Amino acid sequence: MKNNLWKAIFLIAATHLLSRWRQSLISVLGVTFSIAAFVGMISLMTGINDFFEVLMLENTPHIHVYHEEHLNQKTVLAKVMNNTDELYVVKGIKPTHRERGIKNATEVLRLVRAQPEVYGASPLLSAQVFYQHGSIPLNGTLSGIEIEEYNKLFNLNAKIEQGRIEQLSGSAPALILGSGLAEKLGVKLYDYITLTAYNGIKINAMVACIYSTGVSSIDNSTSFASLATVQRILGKDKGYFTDINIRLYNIRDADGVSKRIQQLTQCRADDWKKINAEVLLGFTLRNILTVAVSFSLLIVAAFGIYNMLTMMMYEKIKDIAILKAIGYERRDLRRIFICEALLIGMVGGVSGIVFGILISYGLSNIPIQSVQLKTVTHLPVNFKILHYLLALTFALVTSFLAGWIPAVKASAIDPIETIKA
Amino acid sequence: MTIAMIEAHNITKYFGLKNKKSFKALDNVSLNISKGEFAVISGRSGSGKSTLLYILSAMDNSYEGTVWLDDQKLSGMNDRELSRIRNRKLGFVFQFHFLLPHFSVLQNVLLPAMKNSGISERECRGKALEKLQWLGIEHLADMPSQKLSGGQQQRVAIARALMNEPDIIMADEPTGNLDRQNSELVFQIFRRLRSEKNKTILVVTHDKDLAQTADRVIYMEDGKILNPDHYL
Repeated sequence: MKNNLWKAIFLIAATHLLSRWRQSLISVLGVTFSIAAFVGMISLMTGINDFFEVLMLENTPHIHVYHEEHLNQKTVLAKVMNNTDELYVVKGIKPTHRERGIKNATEVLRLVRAQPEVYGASPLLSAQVFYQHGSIPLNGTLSGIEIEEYNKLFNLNAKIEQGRIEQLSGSAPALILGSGLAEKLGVKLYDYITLTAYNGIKINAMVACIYSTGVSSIDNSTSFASLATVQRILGKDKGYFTDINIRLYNIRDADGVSKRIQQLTQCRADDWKKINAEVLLGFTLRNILTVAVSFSLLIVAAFGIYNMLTMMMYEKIKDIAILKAIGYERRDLRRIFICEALLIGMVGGVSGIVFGILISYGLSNIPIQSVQLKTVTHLPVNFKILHYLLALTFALVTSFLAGWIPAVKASAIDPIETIKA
Repeated sequence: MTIAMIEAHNITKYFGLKNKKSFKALDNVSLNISKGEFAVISGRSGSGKSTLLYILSAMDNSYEGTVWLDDQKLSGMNDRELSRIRNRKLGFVFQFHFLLPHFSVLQNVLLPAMKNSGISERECRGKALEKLQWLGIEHLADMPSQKLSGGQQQRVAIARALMNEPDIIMADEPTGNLDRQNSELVFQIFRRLRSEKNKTILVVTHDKDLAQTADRVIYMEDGKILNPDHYL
């Protein structure tokens, strides 16, 4: 009948707390506020993280393959003079004209698509162009894509505001224009605009669609056209492109596959982590902030519990002496005080979670306006059971630690000294 | 010779730092109390009688010498074993009734039994009510302990001491805080405990009149027993 003992321990702990209900309440509130703040913060911070992650993964490939420009330090002279003792100096080495494009691009694309983890690979040829409609030219990027493949990978269709993608499949040059760009140029659907490349080639293209990603830096500068259109404006032949954007079946394979592709194709292949390094750093910083703030709040709450239980120990010193005299062991007394601490942690933790959910709900109703990100209307907030369980664990662990020293002190009280006094 | 229930051999106890030997509270005390005996330790304050009682009741274990309770050697036991002795072997009654405040009379009486594993809660309650009944205070069972009079509280404390059916009852100045009538009542209960339940009883008191009602009075002075073999 060991549970009799536990019943007694619980009864004594609860009675102690109730006999000093004001102090108990204050300790509980300390835990409540810190847990509520923790729940609110972690809900908001992970909400923001998730929001950015979705945004990031929607717009970036899992692997980006491209040809890396680098200065070839090995001059022709060096090759010829190899293994000779003669001194030679070549001054002012400059890069010779090299193609930006991926060497043997069609073969590389075929190789990439042959990898079993690859869901799809979309070739891309981007060009800096001037958009002109009327007299003022606007600088921007024109991305040449295989429309169908790109749509499959990045769901371009969902971002189209006006027009239909199918209209690009014809041989006449047609554009999917960014909404910000369309506004700045003052063009409507089916208007023609002039594109000028750096080499002077001009093309008239029809605005077949207008799209919006919600990220204004993209919408204000980038438009899409078929790969052939961009190859034409750059004066390149078929099979010339600069980048391959890859999406995998499973994003976790990105690191391994990117390394394999790099080895197979001699092209540079970056995975999404490398591409979005600064976004990921932001995630880490937000997580650190959440943990740091919550931790300091919990420490304050822990001191509250510690303080209260130490006072309780001196106040109930007579009870402790009686319990020892009638046969309760040191560890039983320790359990009583730990139980008191855990009760505070439990009640404070649960009420803190309730308050935290209310705070999160309140936060999720705060409207925000961002010029950069038009898809957000309110603060992004997560509501996750896991966070609440984590908060409860924190509350219990903290209160346990806070109760430990008073509990040990209480168990060490000498009953005779107390009875004599 | 009857069987010894409490046996103490050459108990010496110092207060203060041991190496300084600042104050000798008990000086080579030996004592033998038989089973079913009602003994009183009497003497002036500072004579060492309470100190001796705390050693015999397994609460104090820093002393020289040996103590046996019912053939169990207390000296050298660890904290847990001593706790077990205090819980099962003996019941203790304090001067200031020492009940847990905010607890009912019944809960106070139940506490020692809740520590004692092996008894169901129903059984515990039955036993607790039986003890209260034996002491004529079962009607107070659900009262909060601090609402009781001093005499009632002391009877609750005795009920608590009896809860685990110990062989020995020890009391430290149990009447020190009570009026004449209640003091006599408490001693009457002790006598009943001896005659009806065959308990061994050891009480420290400085009340000479009450001491005379016991089987045996042990007088102490300056940490020594004056009449170790004296029986009334």
